[in-house]
Order: sequence, then structure tokens, then C-alpha cells
Amino acid sequence: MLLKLPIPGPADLPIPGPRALGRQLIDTATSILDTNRAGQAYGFLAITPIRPGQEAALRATLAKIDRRQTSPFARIARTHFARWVVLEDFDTGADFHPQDEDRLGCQYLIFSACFDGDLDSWLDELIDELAPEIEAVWSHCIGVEPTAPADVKRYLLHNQQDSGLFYSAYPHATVPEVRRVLKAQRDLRALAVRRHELTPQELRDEFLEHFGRR
Amino acid sequence: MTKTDDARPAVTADGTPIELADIQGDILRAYGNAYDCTTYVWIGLTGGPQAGRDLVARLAEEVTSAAPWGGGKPTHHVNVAVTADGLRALGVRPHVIDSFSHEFRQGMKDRAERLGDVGRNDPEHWTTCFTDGSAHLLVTVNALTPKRLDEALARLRSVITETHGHTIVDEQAAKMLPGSREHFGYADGFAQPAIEGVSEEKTRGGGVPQSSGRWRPLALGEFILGYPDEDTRDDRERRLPSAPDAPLGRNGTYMVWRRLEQDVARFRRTVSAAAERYECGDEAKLRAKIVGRWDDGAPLSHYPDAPPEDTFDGRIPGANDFRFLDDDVLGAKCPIGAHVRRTNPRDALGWDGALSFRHRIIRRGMPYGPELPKRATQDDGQERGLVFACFNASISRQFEAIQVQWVTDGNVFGLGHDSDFLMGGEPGSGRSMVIQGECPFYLAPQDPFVSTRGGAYLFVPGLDALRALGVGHVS
Amino acid sequence: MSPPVNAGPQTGTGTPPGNVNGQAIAITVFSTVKRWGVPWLKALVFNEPKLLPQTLLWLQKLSFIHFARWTLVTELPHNGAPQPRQKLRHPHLYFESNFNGGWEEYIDAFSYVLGPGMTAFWGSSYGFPGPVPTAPFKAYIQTSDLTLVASHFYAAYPESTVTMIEQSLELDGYLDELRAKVDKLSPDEFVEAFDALLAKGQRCF
Ligand code: HEM
Repeated sequence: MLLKLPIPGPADLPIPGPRALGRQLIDTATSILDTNRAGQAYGFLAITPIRPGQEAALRATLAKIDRRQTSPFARIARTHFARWVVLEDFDTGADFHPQDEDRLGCQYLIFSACFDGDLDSWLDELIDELAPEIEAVWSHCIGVEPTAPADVKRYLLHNQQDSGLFYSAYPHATVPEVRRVLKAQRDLRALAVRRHELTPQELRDEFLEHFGRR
Repeated sequence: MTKTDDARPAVTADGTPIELADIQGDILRAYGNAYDCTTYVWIGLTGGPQAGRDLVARLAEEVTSAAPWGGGKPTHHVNVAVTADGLRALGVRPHVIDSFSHEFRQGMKDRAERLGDVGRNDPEHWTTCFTDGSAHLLVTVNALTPKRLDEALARLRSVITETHGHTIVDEQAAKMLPGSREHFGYADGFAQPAIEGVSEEKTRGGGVPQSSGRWRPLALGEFILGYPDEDTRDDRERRLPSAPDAPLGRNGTYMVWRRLEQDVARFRRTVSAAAERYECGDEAKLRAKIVGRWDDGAPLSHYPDAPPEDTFDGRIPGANDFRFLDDDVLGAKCPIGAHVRRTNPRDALGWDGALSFRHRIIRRGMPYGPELPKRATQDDGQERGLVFACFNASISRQFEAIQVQWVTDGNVFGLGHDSDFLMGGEPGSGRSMVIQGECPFYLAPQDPFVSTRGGAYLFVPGLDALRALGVGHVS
Repeated sequence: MSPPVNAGPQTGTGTPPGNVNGQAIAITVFSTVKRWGVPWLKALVFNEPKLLPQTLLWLQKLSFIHFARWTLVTELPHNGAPQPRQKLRHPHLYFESNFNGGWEEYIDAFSYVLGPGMTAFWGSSYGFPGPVPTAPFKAYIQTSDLTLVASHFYAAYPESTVTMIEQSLELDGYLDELRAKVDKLSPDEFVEAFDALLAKGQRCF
């Protein structure tokens, strides 16, 4: 049953993609070399032990960190997504476990991020830009001196979990590029609506103003 | 038209008899165009649980079922539905209420944000009975003539008085405009889902489009509780979809009722101004592009360039039999964001319809308020609009998915955050519509055309269940 | 007639707010893997080029996941006291995804379309009921105990969906063509080229 993956019906979706699809296949091949990569994107995951008794304090610290555009991760412009999640235990009491399910000896903090480029420089940026948050968060964890940059880096790498598989829908687009093309799309649409109000000269000028030349 | 004389017992695909005599009327088949006088009466059960149950018991005697009529057309029909607040007011036991779906128990008002009922649609602009928890029962009266309607309403009022202490909290008369039109001027009421054992004659165009070119009807359980649905029809363990505790879950369904005010003058002004810039056609064509059908209902998929010479008849077989992927992937005939392509994408989302077949609803909407004079482009200060009513077995999976994913957003269609142009958008939201084709037309950000003015989620019990509520079996 | 049997949970209960940022939703799930699942996942699902691209192709076509990862956790590194030495008897499959909304409304669709892929990934996990019928599957993934709630979730462009990004990238390619020649065109020629751009890119808005 598991070995046969049927091919779906006519999936000629009216959304763009063939180019991206071709690329994806190549990326899959390259990501077999480093499973944490997809195209130019990197997926980082570290799971670190929380100091017994400090779980609530950690949660309170995390709750205070702003989530929206003022999230500290916004300071590293190459970060697409990031999250902190508290893992209390594997045995959650539901019916989805073996009889002898593993019990965690302490709670763990999951830290994961998807970003552009390589891990090493991203960790440097992280430690640089998020110093206050790193101190606030990882001071509740075991085995790290959160004010010592080198130690934080060593610690995160020590607790890194490699991906089995990392997937990106647009593995070649960096954060700035994503933002730029999204803005171009909005601007072009607005210009399309006004196309008839403008003389050819005005249209051309506006185009240059928004999109420039190459 | 309603089948009145079909004596064959109705069965689902697996041979289960469909208990038509226990299912309320007007759900599976419309009472028909002859019943074009409708009034929706909202009742608050302010007289306490016992008086409420007495009223329900009395109403249960009046309610018409889906069973064939036999002896000719009744002059009127009465149907009853109840909100979650209504169940509480009837003293239904909490654990029984908990067996109803989460969204029903929560109610429409508390799901406003998800539904796009923000800004001009915000519940603060709704009739108060829909926000203060006083709308408990909805009695829908359909009649052949205005006189019959008045008689039936008078009778209803006396039943309400006799059972003590109830309040009529809202009353909404509704009527199809001449030519089966709604207020914007489009003919309405053509497309409905085709259901196994019920309306299989509509399968082509109304069922699930298959890649073989065939269509198949939908399982009854998509619209009536207590029968296999599209998920469980092949289940080896013959489990049934989740439903409220017996006897309520059997032969009942969920109903969505919304009062949608239409700003007809603004719609006309916007469309005619845009038509000035529309190079590939005239105003009539632009109107058709917005809905996906010409004013008389002829689908763009069949008549992409001009409406048919003769007035379109939506009841003839095949009238609604169209798809989008065969030759209109790009939306050059029927735009990708047209109202009918959004609300029932048929095969348009690919994957053999897997992304759309579980999001179908049975619509029973009716226009309310006076018609705006034909050429008027200024508002006359009178409220008019559409009473949007629909039936489905899961409000979240069916109505809400359509409303949230397809009408209020465009992402699944590759239309970004554009919403349905027919509904209009909040000024400044930047949402609009692209009319695809050889000379694509980019409409300016839309104005608010349609605004929510009230609404509720309801449960329509089967007749046995209604009687059980009346005698307090579940209290 | 037997009374209705619930085939699954209630729907419409909503995603926990902690997992939402604008249009973006974070899913973090740990499931415990049966022992045979390790070679299966490592050898076939993660690495076998014949199976994998098919599943990823579906993901790509469904176009709702920005980034996703699957990780087999077989050990938790030791960091000294007071961390208890943690020996894992079972492998645990970590899954996270960053995707755009429509989650609840579309669970059904996902299980129809991605069913085989999901079975490949989760078929070796304890409790996985199979993707269809969808109701037990929903019960499985909606069990709040399995789906963790993020304490912090950052999204760089929370209002944009995967499809919007892919469309914008495609549109940018067409824009580039015009950017490259804009200086060579007279205003009238420019209008013609601009219209051609709008025609070519009409599915990218
Ligand atoms: C004032 C608001 C609305 C107006 C004026 C309106 C008008 C129309 C018209 C003219 C049609 C074409 C006639 C037909 O196919 O029967 C139609 C079809 C339809 N509408 Fe609406 N509508 C409104 C709101 C809605 C809403 C809010 C929904 C759902 C959430 C909806 C769902 C549908 C569906 C499912 C169809 C049938 C599409 C098909 O099966 O091909 N409508 N509507």
C-alpha cells in the first residue's frame, strides 16, 4: 500500500509553476547533499533543555516578545520564518503512543528558523542582533552562557537536529526579493487600472519611476 | 419545479430509504416559483422554556415535509429552524447542545471576523436581535399569493399569542423580482447541487465533475444529517458523519440565514463608469463578466460573446452543464473571479474537483425591499437586498469555506486577496477584479455594494426531532 | 434505524492564536514512529528520488506551504547537569510547516490530494489513521496534544500567500523583459509593450 503512490488526476492547475517545478526537482537532488538546504534557503532546528522550575518564566519571557513586524527576527532581514515552541513531553496522554512511550526528563525549547544563505553567518547575525532576547530566552535553558556569543553558537550547533527533508516553495527567492516582487505586483496592478487615464508619455514615466530600467 | 406526483420511494445510492416525510420541505427541492411570497418571522422565546416548547409543538403540526404532496398544491408552507440560543431557551440539556457543531453553537455573530463581517459588515450594524441573543426560532412562510401569505401569518401570530409570552423580534418579507431577478438585475436561482436519489436529473452541471467527462451526484449526507456523506459513503465500518445526538441528528440539517443589503445605485454607477473604459465589450458584457452569467442567466461558459437570442431557460436539461478547465483555464470566457466561478469552481481548481466537491450548498435566497426604478443611479434611501439562505450538513466546511476562502479571498484561485467583486469591498482595501482575456481589463478597486445587516446559524430539525423538542424529550 | 455514530470531531474550532501571524500559520507536530519507520523514512521517503519528487510536486502544485521540514529525532544531545540524561527508546518524527490559511476549510482536500504523500510520511507513526475517511484523520491532527502551540512565531511577509509570491516572481520575469528594453521604445511603442505585459501577466495578480 505504501509503496504505490498514485499520480493525481489532471492537475493542470491554472496557477503558474512549471518553471518552479523544474527547479524544485533539481533542488531536491542538491538537498540530498545537505538536507538542511533547499535551494539557497536553510532550515535550522535546535532543541534545548529547559531548566526544571523555569518553564513558566520562559513562557512569560516568550509571551512578552512582540510577534508582528517588530519581532526581533525582523532585525535579520534574511529570515523568512522563525518560531519558539515549548515541548512539554512526548507522552501527551492521547491514544497515539506506544505502551512504553518515551518520557522527557525535562521540558525542551524548540527553536527553528528558515532563512537565506548559510547557517554560520546567520548564527553570527542572530547572536549580534538578538543579544537581549537570546539572553532572556536561553538563560532559562541548561548548558549555555547566554551572554557569551561563542558559547551560544556552540550551544545551538551542539543541539541542532538535522532535517530529514526540508522543503521550500520558492527556494531561490530571498526575503528582500520576495518583498520586492510583491511590491512590484501591487504597483503594476495599480498602474494597469490607471492605464487609460495616462498619456503614453506619462505611462512610460510612471513605469520608469516604479520599476526602473535594466 | 417541485416534483409533486412522483410516487417512487426515494433511496440513496446504497439503498437506504430517504425519509422524506421526516425531512422539512424546501430543503431538498424548492417549493417552486409559484410560491413567490415569502416571509421570515424571527421569534424570541421570552415566555420561558415551557411556553417555548408549547410553541414548537404547535408549529410542528403545521410544518410541511419533503414528502410528495399528492393532493395538489398546498396554499402555503410553514418551516421551522432554531438557533443555538433557541435550543438553550427551550431548555435543551447542555450535553445535547454540545453534540451540535462548534460553529453552530458559537453563532454567526461570534464568527464575524472570519466571515468578513468587519467594517461596514460589522455586527454593530446588524438588527439587534441577531447580536443580543434574542433570535431563537425562524419560521419561514411561503405562500402562493399575498392573500394566502397574510392568512398564514395571521394564523402564525395567533399560535404565538396562544402559547404565551413570545416576541416577534424580526419579520422580513421577501419576493423574487419580476423575471426571477435579484436587485442588481441578474436572474437568480439556477444552479443547485445534484443529490443522489433526490435530484439526479441535474447531475450534469450540478454534480461532481469527473476527469472522464462524466459527472456524479453528491451524497445526501452532504445536505441532510443521518445519511452517508461524501466522506463516509465508502466507509467499510459504515460510520455516519458527525451529527447531534438522537433524535435531533436524524433528517435535520444546518441553515445559514443572512440579510445582505445591496446598494443598487452604487453598483450601477460603478459598473457603467467602468464600462466606459472597457475596450472589449459593453456594459451588459461587463455585468456578465462580474457574475459569470448574462442578466437573463445564460452562462458565459456557453455564451461567451453575447447572450442567446431567446431568453435563457435555466430549467432545460444541460442549461447549467458547464466546466472551466476544458477550454477556459485562463478565464477568457468566464473570468476566474466571476461570482459563479468562485462560489462553485466545479473543475476549475484541478485535482479532479477534490478541492471543491465538499464545499457545496443548497441556496434558497430571496430578494427583499422595493425594486430601485430601472434607470435610477441615485439611492432612494430605502433598504433592499438579498435574504441569503442556504442549507448544508456542515456550516464550517460548506458555507464558511465558500464565504471565507472563495468569496472574501481569492488566493485559492490565484487572485491574491481580491474578494468577489459582486459583494464589493471596503474602500481603500485595494481589492478588485481582473477580467481575463485577449485584452485583460483591470477594474478599479471596488466600492461596497453589499453589506451584512444581520444573520444567524440555525438548525432545521426533522419532523420527529421537532416534536421531540416540543414535548421536551431532550430537555 | 441505528442512531448516528460520530465519525469524527467537530470542525470549525479554529487554529490556536499562537500559531497564527497574519495569513501565515505555524504547525509543529511530534509523532512517535514505529521502529520499521526509521529505515522507511530514511531510505525511501527522505532520500528515494523516485517517490520524493512526486510528493513534493503535489506540495508545489497545491501551493500553500512556504517552508516545511521533517526531522527524525533519535537523540537529544546532553548539555550537562541538571539536564537528565535522555535516552529515547523510540524515534520521533518532528514536522513543522509555515503555510497560509485555509487550513481548516481545506483539511479534507489535503487528505484527498496529499493522501498518499501523508501516508508515506506518517504511515509509520503511532495512531495515524490513514488520510481517508477524513474525519478520523482530522481527529488525529487536530488533537491539540499532538499539535504544539508556538510561543513565538515570526513571518517576514505575513500577509502574502505562497501563490502570491510565486505569481509575483513570475510577473517580475515579464517586468524584467520590459525593463530591459524600455529605453529603446517610443512612448507609443511603450504602450504597446505595456499592454503586452499586462496580457502576459494577467494570471499573476
Ligand atoms: C447580495 C449578494 C449576492 C447576490 C446578488 C448573488 C447573486 C447570484 C447570482 C445572480 C447567481 C447566478 C444564478 C445562479 O447560478 O443560480 C448566483 C449564484 C450563486 N451564488 Fe450568489 N449572490 C450573492 C451572494 C452570495 C453569497 C454570499 C454566496 C455564498 C457564500 C453565494 C453563493 C452562490 C452560489 C453557490 C451560486 C451558484 C453557483 C453555481 O453553482 O454555479 N452567493 N448568485
